[in-house]
Amino acid sequence: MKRIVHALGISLLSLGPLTGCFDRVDLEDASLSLVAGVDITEDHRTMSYTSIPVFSKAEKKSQELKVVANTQREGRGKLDAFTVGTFNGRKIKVIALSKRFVQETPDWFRYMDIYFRDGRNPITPRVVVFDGTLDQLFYYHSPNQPILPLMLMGMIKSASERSETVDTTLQELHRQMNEEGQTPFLTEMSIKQDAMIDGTSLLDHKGRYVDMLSMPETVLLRILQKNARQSVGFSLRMPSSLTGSTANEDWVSIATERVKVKIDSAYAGGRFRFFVNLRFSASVVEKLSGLDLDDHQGGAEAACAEELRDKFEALIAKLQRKKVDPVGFGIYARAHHYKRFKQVKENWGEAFGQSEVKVRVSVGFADEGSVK
Amino acid sequence: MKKYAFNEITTMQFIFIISGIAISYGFIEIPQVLYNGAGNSGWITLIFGSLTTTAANLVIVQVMKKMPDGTILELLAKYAGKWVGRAAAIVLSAYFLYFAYGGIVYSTRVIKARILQETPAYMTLIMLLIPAYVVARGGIRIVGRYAEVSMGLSLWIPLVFMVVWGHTHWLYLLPVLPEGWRPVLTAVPSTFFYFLGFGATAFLYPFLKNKEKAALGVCCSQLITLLAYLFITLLSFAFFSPGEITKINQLSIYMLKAVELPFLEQVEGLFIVLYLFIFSMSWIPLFLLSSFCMSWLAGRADHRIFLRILLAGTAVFSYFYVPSFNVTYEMGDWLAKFGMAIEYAAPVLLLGYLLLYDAIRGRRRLS
Amino acid sequence: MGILSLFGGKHKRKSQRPSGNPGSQALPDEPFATDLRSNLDKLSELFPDTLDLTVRRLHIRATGQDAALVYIDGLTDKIDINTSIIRPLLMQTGISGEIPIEIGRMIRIYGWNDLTVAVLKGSSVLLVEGSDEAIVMRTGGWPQRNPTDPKMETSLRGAQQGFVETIEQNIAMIRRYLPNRELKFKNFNVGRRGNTQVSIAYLEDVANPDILRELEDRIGRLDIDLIINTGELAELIEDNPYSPFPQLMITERPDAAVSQIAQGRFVVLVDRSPTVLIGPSSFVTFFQNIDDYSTRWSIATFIRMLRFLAFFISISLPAFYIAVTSFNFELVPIKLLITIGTYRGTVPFAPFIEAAFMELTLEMIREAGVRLPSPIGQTVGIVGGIVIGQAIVQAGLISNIMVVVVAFTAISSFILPNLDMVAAVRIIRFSFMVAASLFGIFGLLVGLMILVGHMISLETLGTPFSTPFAPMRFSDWRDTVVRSPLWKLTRRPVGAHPIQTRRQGDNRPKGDG
Repeated sequence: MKRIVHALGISLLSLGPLTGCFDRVDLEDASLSLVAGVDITEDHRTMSYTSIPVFSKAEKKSQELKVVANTQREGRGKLDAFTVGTFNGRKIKVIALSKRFVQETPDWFRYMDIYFRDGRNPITPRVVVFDGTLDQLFYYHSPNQPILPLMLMGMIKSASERSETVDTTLQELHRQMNEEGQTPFLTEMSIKQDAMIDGTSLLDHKGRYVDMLSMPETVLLRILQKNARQSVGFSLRMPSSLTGSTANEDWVSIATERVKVKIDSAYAGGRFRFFVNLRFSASVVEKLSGLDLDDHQGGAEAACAEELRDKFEALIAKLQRKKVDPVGFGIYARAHHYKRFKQVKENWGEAFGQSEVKVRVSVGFADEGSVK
Repeated sequence: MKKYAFNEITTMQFIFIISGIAISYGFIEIPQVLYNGAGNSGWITLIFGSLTTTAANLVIVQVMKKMPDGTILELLAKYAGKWVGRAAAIVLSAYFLYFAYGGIVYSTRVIKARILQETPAYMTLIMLLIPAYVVARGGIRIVGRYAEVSMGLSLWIPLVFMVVWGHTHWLYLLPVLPEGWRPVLTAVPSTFFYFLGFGATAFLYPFLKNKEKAALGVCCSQLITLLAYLFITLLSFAFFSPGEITKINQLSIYMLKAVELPFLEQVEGLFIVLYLFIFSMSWIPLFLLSSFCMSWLAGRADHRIFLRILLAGTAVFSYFYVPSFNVTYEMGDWLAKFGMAIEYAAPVLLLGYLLLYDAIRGRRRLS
Repeated sequence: MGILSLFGGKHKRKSQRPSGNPGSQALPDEPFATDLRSNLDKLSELFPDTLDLTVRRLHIRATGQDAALVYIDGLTDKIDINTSIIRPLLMQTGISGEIPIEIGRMIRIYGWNDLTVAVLKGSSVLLVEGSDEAIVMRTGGWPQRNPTDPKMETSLRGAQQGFVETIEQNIAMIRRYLPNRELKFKNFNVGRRGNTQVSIAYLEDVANPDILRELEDRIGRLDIDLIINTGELAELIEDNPYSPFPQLMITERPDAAVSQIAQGRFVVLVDRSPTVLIGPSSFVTFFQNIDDYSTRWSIATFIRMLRFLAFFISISLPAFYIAVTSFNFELVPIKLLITIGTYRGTVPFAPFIEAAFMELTLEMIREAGVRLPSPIGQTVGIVGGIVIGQAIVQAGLISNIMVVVVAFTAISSFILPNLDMVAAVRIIRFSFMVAASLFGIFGLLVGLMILVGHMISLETLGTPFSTPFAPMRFSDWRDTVVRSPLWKLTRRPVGAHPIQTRRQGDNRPKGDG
């Protein structure tokens, strides 16, 4: 019997190569789409873009293509006609959406369905909003940059590690789109002299483009999200009463060591109230004025705190004005005031716009540097 | 040499077999079931489900104490007559086969959907049958060892999920009991399906080396199952926003798709194949038990002939038809019904019958 | 109890073989005649045309009898015969009427069969006029080798003595390590024609008698012409000859053999073979090396882990390469993927062909190196290095990454201390490669599942091969993947099923403090 089993096994294995290998695509035969892009034409038809690395001794290391298609899947079929190998979306690293697409296509998020439905597609590609037409991005070749996917990945990674932009993956976007208490946000970039990160695009609950945050504002946003990486730096202006010097010289730069964020929520008077309590522990990295930090540490800390509070308040005011909540205050509201939240969950952005947010900031200097 | 010395299973093997059968695909499916039933407090439901199951499992142990040297089939044959035993053998054999088939089809479907999309499903399924034969051929004690190894080889799973930790939002777990206790309690029966498999106790009991530790083993295995489920449930509740949790299939696998390790990307592919060690616990022991029932029915000592028939039959059948995902879920619903009758209700009735039987016989003897 | 047998394990040996040694049973032993002449006639009838058979007729001075000394020239020690047998017989004047022989080990025999065996095995036989018995004297002096350092299992710190081709010497070497009354040797004669002496060595108060019985049973049942080497015996008595895994360890080191005896295992010595069998061996014993115990435990532990890692790498790395380059490249980080792709882009073969080709080349080079005399062997290494490392890649036939993979695999398999295990690894590696080329990572894992399933089903001498992992025995883990400090190894491994488990007391060094 054993022999029969063995014979069976062996014949099965040897039969395999003849019949099997259904899923086999050798790496060099696959056209791995590493960057996917979606744009719209003038007459509002969607366009698919892709960037594929070329595995040969050719001079050009990647191939960029665009087609007009109704769905992403149809686009893939069309793209396949252009490529040497089999078109393959299993390794997409970046999805670029043109700003116009995000602004003008209602419910554009459904175009992303293919990435979620196909079990082999990754959900980790970074999603970026590109300010301009995608032609600009995909046919942009800077001699001193690596191929497009590596360039984009590198830019997003380094900027998000400095907290200057957000690191929104496709899955994160999916979560945000399906989250009542938070609105989505994406990395925004453009090509000016060279490709560059601009900051963060803010979207409303439906995914419509609302506004953008600059890089410094994004830093604040990520602190509020309790998602700030490493240390972040601020250059703050001290009141001249403290420094006793001219306006150009009263800057102090600090780098945070630790930030404690506490957000409390309450419901009173028909609207939500949030209390944001921020405690910074920071080190001084630069000081232009003759301010004596030993003598005036308390004063300087308070001044920094005030500066920071203004920044945060300005940010939150902007968000409330635009009725978007990328911080996720709604999540706090739901967790602590479920009954009230249920009444407004259909349009939390609106409710957030009317709520009251109080910010309290305190700063403590942990290190003043090696010079007085 | 003790003749059956090497045919015994240790308490640890017993624990791992029972919890392995239960965890197998429950680990992938249970978060969603709980959320659908009881919202973000589903984990409370889970605890109730586990307690109920432990009780039901202990009832089986209690029943089996009446017959320490035989399986449930011998017990039935002794107390209720030969034909009852035979009928039970047929029913249980069919039940275990159905269970095993459901498990293997589910795994095939997961692999088909996420790893081998173009390979015909029957090929994947047949590939899975080969290790099943290699292991189940050796009998209970080899399956016991397999349970140990597969659990041991899966200890990395919690570690991988720890990487997901960075993407969690623990506020999603609040508020506790947003809609009160009702949904939590009504959802309890829906969890039973994912605890099924403890009925194997009725067959494993005679092989246990330390029978007095059976009850302890049952508690341990249910605790392991509960902990595994709690872990994955809490993690996925914190990972997914309430809006999306109902929109995604197989939450546990999906969560891993968000993981990027510096040396490995898209970990979920590797996870699914490595998880096959646990998946396989939902069919290997059950194919064995099914063939065991058959061989008991036929009065033959060697279960392997029936095992071969079963596996070959499954392979041939699969060549023509492999259920789709939706049919698999439907099969699961049926299995849940059978399972609740066979593993939860029947033992209680049986225990009642046995107590009554002993009481009447005891009175007769007195008079 | 019937149901317990239902789930029964495997059936033991296939068929019942006729027991005993048919060679000696075939004709009933014919007694000697009392007449020397007819005995000598019979002798020449039994050994016709045997040029190296020497029959020396002489007159025993002490008793005044005629006698004949029979031996085979090449198998005996001539000096011994001359000085210790012939000279006393011829010269010595007896007092008590005994035959004067100055040799320690002599036995009396009464039949022709015994005589034949004795003469053919190198003893001298003295036939005496008027006596129906013959005297066998151990005068063995066949070509022999002195114990030299083991060739295949070299050791840094261990003894520099390996087993030799004479069982007496091998037994002596084992006894040197274990001067203990409990060390027992059970002897068998195996082979109708070969008549090879096979001895089982064990510690009677430690080793499990059930396993001994099993082992005796299996050796006793052998019905075979001739056993030349230990490996043949291993294949004949192991539990599952279809398995790629060796189930009985073969070693040429007396110290390794003795350390296993001390743990409660059995050692089977085969005459004329410079290696011995150790059983029951489990999977982990193939990863242990005698040096582990004489290096510092932390380093030994590190090396042990390295070996297990190497085992895993060498069975699965090429298969993994195939899987990620033809099926599952989403697993590879993007930068590495682009690198691999750039190299693969110029290679005309599919990954499986590429890998199979390279692995086969490697096996050929290895096999060529094994059989060639060492001066030429080095050339093979150079040719292999140039062919594999340089030419193939430059010609664009194989990608650089593949060369790295092959080299890595080869180095990993060199780390494994046991040759039989390395052989098993090669077979497994190729089957994994086939599986991976069909189903990618899924195929690799199914292969792994089959391997695990096979390993846990495997038994050696009725004990599980996969102990202490399955069945899990945590107490044995101290000497598996890790090598705990020696003073922690107070109990013999349960995997050897010893009947006396305590090995040592508390020997933890206390130091001066």
